[in-house]
Amino acid sequence: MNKFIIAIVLFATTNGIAQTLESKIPASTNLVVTVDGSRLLELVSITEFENYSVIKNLVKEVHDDKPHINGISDLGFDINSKAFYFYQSTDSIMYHVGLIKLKNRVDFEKLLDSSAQKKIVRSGNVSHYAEDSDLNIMWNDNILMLTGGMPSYSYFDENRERFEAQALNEDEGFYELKSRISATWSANYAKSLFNYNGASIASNQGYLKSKDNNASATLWIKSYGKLMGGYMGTSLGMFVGSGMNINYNSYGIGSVTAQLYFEKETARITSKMEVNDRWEKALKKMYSSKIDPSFFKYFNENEMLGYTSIAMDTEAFLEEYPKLMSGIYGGMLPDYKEESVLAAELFNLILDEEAIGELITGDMLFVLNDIVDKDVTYTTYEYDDDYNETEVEKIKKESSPDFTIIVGSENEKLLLRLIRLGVKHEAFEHKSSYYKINLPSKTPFDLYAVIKEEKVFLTTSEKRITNIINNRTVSQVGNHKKIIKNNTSVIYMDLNKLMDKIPESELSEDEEQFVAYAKDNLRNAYFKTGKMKGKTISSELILETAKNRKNSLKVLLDFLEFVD
Amino acid sequence: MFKKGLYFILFGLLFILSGCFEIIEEVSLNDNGSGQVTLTLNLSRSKTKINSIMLLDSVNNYKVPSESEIEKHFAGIVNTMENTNGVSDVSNTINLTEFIFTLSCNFENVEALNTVISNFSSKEEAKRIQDHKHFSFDKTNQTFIRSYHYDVAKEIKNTKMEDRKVFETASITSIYRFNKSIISSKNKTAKVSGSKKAIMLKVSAQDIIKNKNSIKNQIKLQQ
Repeated sequence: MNKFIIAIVLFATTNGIAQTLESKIPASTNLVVTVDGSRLLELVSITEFENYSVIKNLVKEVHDDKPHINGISDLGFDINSKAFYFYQSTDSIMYHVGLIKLKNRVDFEKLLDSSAQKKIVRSGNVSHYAEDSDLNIMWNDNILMLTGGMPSYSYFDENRERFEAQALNEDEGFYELKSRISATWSANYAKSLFNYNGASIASNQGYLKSKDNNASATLWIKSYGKLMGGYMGTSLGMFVGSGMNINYNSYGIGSVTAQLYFEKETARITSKMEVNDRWEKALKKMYSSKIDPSFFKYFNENEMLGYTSIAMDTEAFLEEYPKLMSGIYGGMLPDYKEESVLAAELFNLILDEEAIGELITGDMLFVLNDIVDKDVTYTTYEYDDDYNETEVEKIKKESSPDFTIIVGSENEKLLLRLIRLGVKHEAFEHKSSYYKINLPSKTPFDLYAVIKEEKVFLTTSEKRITNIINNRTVSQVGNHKKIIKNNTSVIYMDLNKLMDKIPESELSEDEEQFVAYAKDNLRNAYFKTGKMKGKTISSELILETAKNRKNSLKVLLDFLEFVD
Repeated sequence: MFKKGLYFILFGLLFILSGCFEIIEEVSLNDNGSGQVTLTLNLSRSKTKINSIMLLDSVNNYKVPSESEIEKHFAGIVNTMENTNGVSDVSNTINLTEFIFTLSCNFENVEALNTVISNFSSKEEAKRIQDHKHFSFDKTNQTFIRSYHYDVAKEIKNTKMEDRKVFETASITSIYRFNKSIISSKNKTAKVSGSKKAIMLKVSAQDIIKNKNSIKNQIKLQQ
């Protein structure tokens, strides 16, 4: 049977369309994952897939047991189609369902070993095999459906008396009883689903909107709040009886869509999250501002390995965040709703949001300029002719980050007063026109600060701080200006340059090869969180791969092959 | 997310840098078999990395001790040593700026040293140490033997790959001093001093792990 599971895994790794499959997913389903086999095969052919050692080994393993299988095509699945996974739950059981299109029913059945084949129950064109208590496999000429049931133990425990009354006889223990009942539920669920012809997910507008033919895989969640509530309720049941009445809708998150794309030179994961009216209002206030354009004066794309930017309204953040939190905790701990609301109000009362918002506007830019070699002293020993030791100090090179942080501030006067206090208490050292921060001696870098043009600059380089003061900085923003301006936060890394900075001497042979391969195959990585559009927040993770390759999926598979 | 990103960029690269340390074992043996021993663990070359690690709660699933826990641990070692028969003048130094730690004591005979080592081992291990002495001195034949029963290569193979990196650039040095001249030593890597009264053996941890060398030695002194 293991071989059978392997065959399914093998298929799931390569697969994927079938309009008819979707009709089996009930409209009430809260989570659907789609893997598009035809899209994947456009990017990497079956032969190419089969040449990867992971697939080769899997096929070999299946072949050893089932000699007629020599490749993915022999498994009986319609690889050139979409495969689906979806999830449904009740208060007593969770169901995980896989739907795959079949191309050759006979080939698929051959995957089952002889003992399993004897257990197949045939009813007309439909075959049914129950692997163990909660796994049901059903198929006809076109559709293969796998369902796995996971019963809620807490539900059984809570209703123990009622269930125990259903025991077949006195010898049937509670565990056997639970297994038997959940197996019956799972089998009934599988049968009703396979014959399902009611309203399907294809009638849900949100789901239809999430579809994109260019995506290799898609995750769609109707309601994140309900999903979490259902999952926690069924699988864990841990809060039952603890007085916590978790209302995940108080998270304010509705539908979630995530898509995976493999393009010529990029692999991307995009996600969209819908929030309720209250969250929309709050988040728009917090994150609608754009970064102060004067920040770009100090941004040079040619002198950096990576950066992180944030554009936020601190004043709005301090006003709105406690309220959102009191909503979540108030919803989670209804007995303490009054306390959480009061805590939020007290927080607002104590803080002067406007004053703090002036002190730290919420615009922030962190730039990793370089990884530099720095001389570091260490203690070791030297010995004379008679091996009497003397303690000596030696110098070695160590990598140290060279970075710059720029933080927006509209209250220079208060900042300067703070700094004067810092100088008085020796936290800062006043240099001619800037300050050196007295970091603990163990910190592997120095830090210099200056306040200029409503911005606080912190940097590890004394030369850079003087350049900032004397307007000798070079502004080279390239495409980054647009990316930073259009997003609430951006994390960017130039992987090529970063890999270059890792000293070879510090790497083992395997790591050296890994770094060299990554350097040749990967370029830049971004994680962007966009501005709110309507009720939607979107984010995107982008990995740019080498330009001279077939496509990003091929690069990543080659990479995995190499690492393996 | 922001915090994580910043953290990755700043420290991610530093963490993959491997460790580097030296252990130095020094024994001065008197003619009557008594003597003085000093054990030094010098992590100074890795101090930047250790300082970064000290900011964390755990690394590779090992809990990172606080400075006070390190001090307490050493105090415990000193206490055990002080209560060992034949051991006196126990002292230790802890330098948490350079991360250099030393332990030293006087011993009445090398047996006392074996007892000290067995005191820090499990019962089973203690028995093996008693059977297979780490230090021995044969006064009649004027032979000093440094040995141990561990199969280091095997022990290392039982550790996780990421933990093994710690040993990549480590070294162990032993220096033994005598009042009499050294006639011969079995470990060919060991070097006898100009005065012939001291012998030093420096072995890389890699060589010990790969079974290419060890700190075992048999030193014959002039009668």
